[in-house]
Amino acid sequence: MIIMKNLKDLINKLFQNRKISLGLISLALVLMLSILIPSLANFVKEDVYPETSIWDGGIASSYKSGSGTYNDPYLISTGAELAYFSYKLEETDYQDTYFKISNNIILNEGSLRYNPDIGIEYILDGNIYYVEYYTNKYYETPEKTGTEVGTINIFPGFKNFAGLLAGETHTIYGLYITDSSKTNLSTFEKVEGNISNLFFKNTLVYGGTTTSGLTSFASDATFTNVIFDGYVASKQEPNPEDISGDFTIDDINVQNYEVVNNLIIPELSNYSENFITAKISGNYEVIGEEATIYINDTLLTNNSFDISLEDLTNIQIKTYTSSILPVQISFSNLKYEITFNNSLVSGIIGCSKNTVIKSTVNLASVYGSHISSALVGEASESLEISQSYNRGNIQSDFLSSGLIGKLDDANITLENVFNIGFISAPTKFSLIGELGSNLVNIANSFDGTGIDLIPNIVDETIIVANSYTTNIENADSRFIYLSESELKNPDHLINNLNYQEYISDEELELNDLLIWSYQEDEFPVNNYDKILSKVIRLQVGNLGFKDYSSNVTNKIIKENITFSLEEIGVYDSIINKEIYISNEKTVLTKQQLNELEEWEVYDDINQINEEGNYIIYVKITNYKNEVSYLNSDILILDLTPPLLTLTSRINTWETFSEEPASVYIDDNLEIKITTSDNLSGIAYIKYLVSFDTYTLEDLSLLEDDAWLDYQDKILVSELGKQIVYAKVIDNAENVSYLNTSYLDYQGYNVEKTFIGIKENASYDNLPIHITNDSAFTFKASFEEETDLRENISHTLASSFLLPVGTEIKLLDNITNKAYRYKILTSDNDYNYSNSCHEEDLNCEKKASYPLGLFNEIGHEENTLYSENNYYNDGIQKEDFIIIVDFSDVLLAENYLGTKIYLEMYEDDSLIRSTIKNTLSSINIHHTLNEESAKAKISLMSDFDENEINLNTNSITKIDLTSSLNYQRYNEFKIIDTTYEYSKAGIKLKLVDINNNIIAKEYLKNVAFVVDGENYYIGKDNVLTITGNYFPDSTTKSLEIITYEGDSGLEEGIYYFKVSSFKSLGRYIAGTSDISDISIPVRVSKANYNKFYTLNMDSNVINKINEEAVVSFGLNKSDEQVLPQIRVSLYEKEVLSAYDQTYNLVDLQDYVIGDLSAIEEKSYLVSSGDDFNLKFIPQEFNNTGYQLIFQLYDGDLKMDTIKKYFIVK
Amino acid sequence: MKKKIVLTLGIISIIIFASGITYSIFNSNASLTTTDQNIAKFIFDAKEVSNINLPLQNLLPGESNRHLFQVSSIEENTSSEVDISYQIIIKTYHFIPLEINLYQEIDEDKILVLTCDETYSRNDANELVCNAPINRLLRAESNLHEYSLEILFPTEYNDEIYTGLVDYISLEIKSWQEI
Repeated sequence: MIIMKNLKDLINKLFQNRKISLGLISLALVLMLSILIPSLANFVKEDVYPETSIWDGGIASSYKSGSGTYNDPYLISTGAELAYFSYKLEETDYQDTYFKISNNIILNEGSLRYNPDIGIEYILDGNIYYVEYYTNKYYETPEKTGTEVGTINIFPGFKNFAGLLAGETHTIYGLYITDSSKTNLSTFEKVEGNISNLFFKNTLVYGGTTTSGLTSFASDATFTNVIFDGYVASKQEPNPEDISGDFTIDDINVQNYEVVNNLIIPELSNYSENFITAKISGNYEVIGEEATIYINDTLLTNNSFDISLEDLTNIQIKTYTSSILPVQISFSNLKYEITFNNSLVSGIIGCSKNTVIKSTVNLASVYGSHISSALVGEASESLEISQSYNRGNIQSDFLSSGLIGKLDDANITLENVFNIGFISAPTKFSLIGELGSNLVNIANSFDGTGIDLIPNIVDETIIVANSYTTNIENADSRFIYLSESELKNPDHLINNLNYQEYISDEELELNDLLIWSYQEDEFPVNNYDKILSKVIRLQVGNLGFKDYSSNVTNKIIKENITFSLEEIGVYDSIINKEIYISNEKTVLTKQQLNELEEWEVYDDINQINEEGNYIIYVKITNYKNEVSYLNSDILILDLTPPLLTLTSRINTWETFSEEPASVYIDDNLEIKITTSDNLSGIAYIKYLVSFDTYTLEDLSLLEDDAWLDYQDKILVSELGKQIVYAKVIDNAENVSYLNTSYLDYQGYNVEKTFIGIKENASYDNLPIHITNDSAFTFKASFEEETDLRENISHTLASSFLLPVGTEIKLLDNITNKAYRYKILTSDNDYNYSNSCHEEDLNCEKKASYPLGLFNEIGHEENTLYSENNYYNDGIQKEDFIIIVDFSDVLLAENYLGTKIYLEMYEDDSLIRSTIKNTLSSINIHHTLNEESAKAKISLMSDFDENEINLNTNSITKIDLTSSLNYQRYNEFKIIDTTYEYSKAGIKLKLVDINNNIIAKEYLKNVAFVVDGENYYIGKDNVLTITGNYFPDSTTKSLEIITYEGDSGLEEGIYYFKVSSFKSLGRYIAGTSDISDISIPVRVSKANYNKFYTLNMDSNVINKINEEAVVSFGLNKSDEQVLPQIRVSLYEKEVLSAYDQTYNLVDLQDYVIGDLSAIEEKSYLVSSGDDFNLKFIPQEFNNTGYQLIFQLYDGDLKMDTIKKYFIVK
Repeated sequence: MKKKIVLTLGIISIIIFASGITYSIFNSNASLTTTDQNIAKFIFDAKEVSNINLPLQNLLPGESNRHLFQVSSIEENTSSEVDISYQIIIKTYHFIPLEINLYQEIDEDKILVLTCDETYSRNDANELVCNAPINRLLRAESNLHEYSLEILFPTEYNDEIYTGLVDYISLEIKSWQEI
């Protein structure tokens, strides 16, 4: 706390001093900027080319800095320092010395182009000049006459280098190396060290016969991530070299007519395009009489020949003899001698020995007369090439190869290498031109141009794995055919050939396999190759596009589309920039772009002002006449606000109104917003429900949080006069506003609707489903500040024509008066038929019952309801209770989903109705499933069907439950209010078999006890019990006690009839459903006494015993009847004292010996004597059991005795 | 000042170390033998028995029965030379809604030991098994604990369905020496 306080004091003191506080603020700003500026740089790093000056041809006196160690390498940042490096290499090879290129270096401002037919061209500021061979002078005309226009810088090149040169992904532009005196010409004469992350563009190496882009010789060297672009060409002057050898010609059978044979000498035909002179010589012998022989029109004589050749592919031997006998010519001592134009030209390395090449790319066009190749001209000892490829044109007159020209006793490994450049020569291969006897391993490699990868020489020293050709007629089974598109598929390349995708420089540092970058419909490329090839950026506002992509997204442009083409590689000479603007949203393929004729030359910033969808295509032709394309996303220029409509059940609004009209609504109103925007699409839909009015300007100034997000509807549910405003914004930020009319939402509020004529808690919250003679009530009120209204009238409206007999009672709680109106005739349809216009199909018909029809209760018939405006002190207050009673209606229909409500009119115009969502749906049921919908009384009892023996001592207990059962419509009870305010009644009477009531005198031996109280039979010979008010149920416990003795009633069967009904006093009230039960009563002269006892000698059965014999003895008096004893066994259901449920089991399964079955699981065990049961303890469970003995006199059951035992 | 800091650090160290040691002491444990060695017996109806069996029948609602018994370590007139732990176990089907309470009676006091009701678990033979807390007969004591088992048939079960029911209660005792 103390520290905090001190700190606070210090800060306060500091800020009291103005200078200090200003200083602190400045310091904070500097700190912020120091964070911000590098952050911004990160965003645009790829497109930024550091400012650097063009080399003036001079030599610096030192490197920029450094001592050549690993931690302090020599830094080279300019052309002059690079020249100094060259100068220093004259005296040292810098073995194990470290160098870094710290900047892009521009050695020449323009671009150098070479064409064997035209020569060297220099393209500067869009102009093409012509360079004299081996000089630095360039001229305006191809003839190179007159005074030169200017000069270019010839770089002296580097001698032997044995150090480590890190390019740091910098590029050297405009390197021009030429020398007429040198046989071996290259940037480096020899490299014995490492070169990494160094790129060359606009390079020209011209001259010599062993000509290479980077180095003439590489020995024990490593090249990593080197990209070389430009031209590499051997000198055009012939470089004669002689070769000679033997060849054979098969014997010729000479005919006696002239025959011309084409002589094919394979050893010669390969030199057909780069030979200077050629001749063949030899001897021949004619076997036979004579023969005439010509070779290329030279007549052979004296059995020998020596002929110069001008065409090595078309050598003709013409023979003839006049002899009719066989003549044959045989050749011997055949020799050829050729002088050919020799050269070995390579994009990167001339000759290699023990060299490793990784992630290296040749983009240069390579021209030579004899052997041309992209990466290595001739390899000896070991050579490893991985993650490398050729994309340049390789041309020669003899042999061209996309990777290595020839091998000289080499051991080479090629992994993840391919050629996609154009290879041209009489003999051409993608990977290796000449194999010889060498160890070759090729894996995960391919050719993308449809030519053979290596000579088809099957040799076990050549191992090819997982490598592919795009030549469908490929005869070399070591390579698998795949289509070009399959070999451009990133998934295939990544998963099957291990061409891992570039992630970041940091990841690449850790794993040099992560070099590959994928572009649509293109072979994979080194990520830096991709970056360097992006020379133009299409800039649309703040959007930049550098690639061709068919996967485009919508980009919304708000005002106009302004675009320009920015050169991002300023030292790449672009010959032509063309644009094409399409209105189609589908991207054109590259093939379509190739064939397109509507390209327009780009000259300056363009602007599109007309709204629509656009894709801008750019065609770029660079100084090497290479064409590339790029395109924008779909640019949507949207200048039009969205269309907007508000719809509801009452109206549709399409235009904004600053003075809206008023519309009355009596129910919640759903409003839907319909909107569309053809171009940019809808971004947001918002709305606002307001009791205030807004102008368009007001709305535009409202804060965002005043608006609500629109989902699928707007619900106007609050009472009052209000307006709904909608605001729709498209993706181009065009805004539309719309409003509704004033929505005047008010009306009578139905506070409550209930079943019956008084609120009954039993019906609380029940939906109104009533029988056709029931009633319902609702309370409607209104209280609001309003203007005084004149000429008003009130009406009760009903969605159906109320049937004759309907009585409506109106209680006016403001005036404290009551009114009634009964519908007495069906002649008046209360305007029901005419309540809707014929054309209005959505109109719901209603019958209108003006309150003026209602009579005031307690007054003369003609005292009718008098209209009242219920207005007092600016407030209109109305409060009604309305009872609709159908009890006098003979209704034979069901009315479901009906509504009855209050309305108020002013001069016949509806100005107020009842708020619909406060209304309950009224459902009146006459029948349900073709049966009456009325409630039914049910009388339930636990009477066990045993007879009562009237003249014996007996007690019969019966629980009676009387209840009202409502019918159900689906899950809803249909309430029958006719049972309201009446009680359940229960009657009991004794009747004979003919249903005649027996007089109460015969029941003198019978007592009736209800719920512990004695009840007596009335004068009408009926016992009456009064129950609870319906709809509550009534349960009464009735005991019928009979006593021994003759009542005088004749023997026979009688019935106690017990019935339940709706009672009023002790009588049946009105119409009532009646439910009854009958209890049989036997009158016999025999003397039964029910009180038998049965002894059981054991209550516990032990399971450890094999047998348990239990004895039973019946106690009875001498007068008592000897009964038959039947027994059943029951097992306890639940192991608890609190559930005494027992379940019937089959006694036979638990005893030894067969029992005599009387009924199912009931057995006769005695005819009155003592008896035993032999139980089998093991059959029992550990629980309680119950034996129920029933004692019978013949068929008459006299008594039931229960006995319990346990098994343990 | 420096002294105070050193002192405070020292006290904190002592508290930390001491609390660890104290905790270890409280967590020391030794295993006990729980085998029933039949050392304690019931004395019921003036007889020394291992089990007391009480048949339950012809009970009427409102009736209650009280059964007195003792627990003793005396066997063949030889007192145990060590303390004895014992546990009383009540077993019943509890098919009759009886309230079964076991009390220990010390002088004039009656201490409720156990109310055996259906919250207890049943064993494989479906018996409700009510285990009383373990009690200890000290060597210094008179080797006799007095108990009463009170069985009440509440009047609220005065209903025909509860008449004539049959059940039983058995009391068992498990005991062992404490060394």
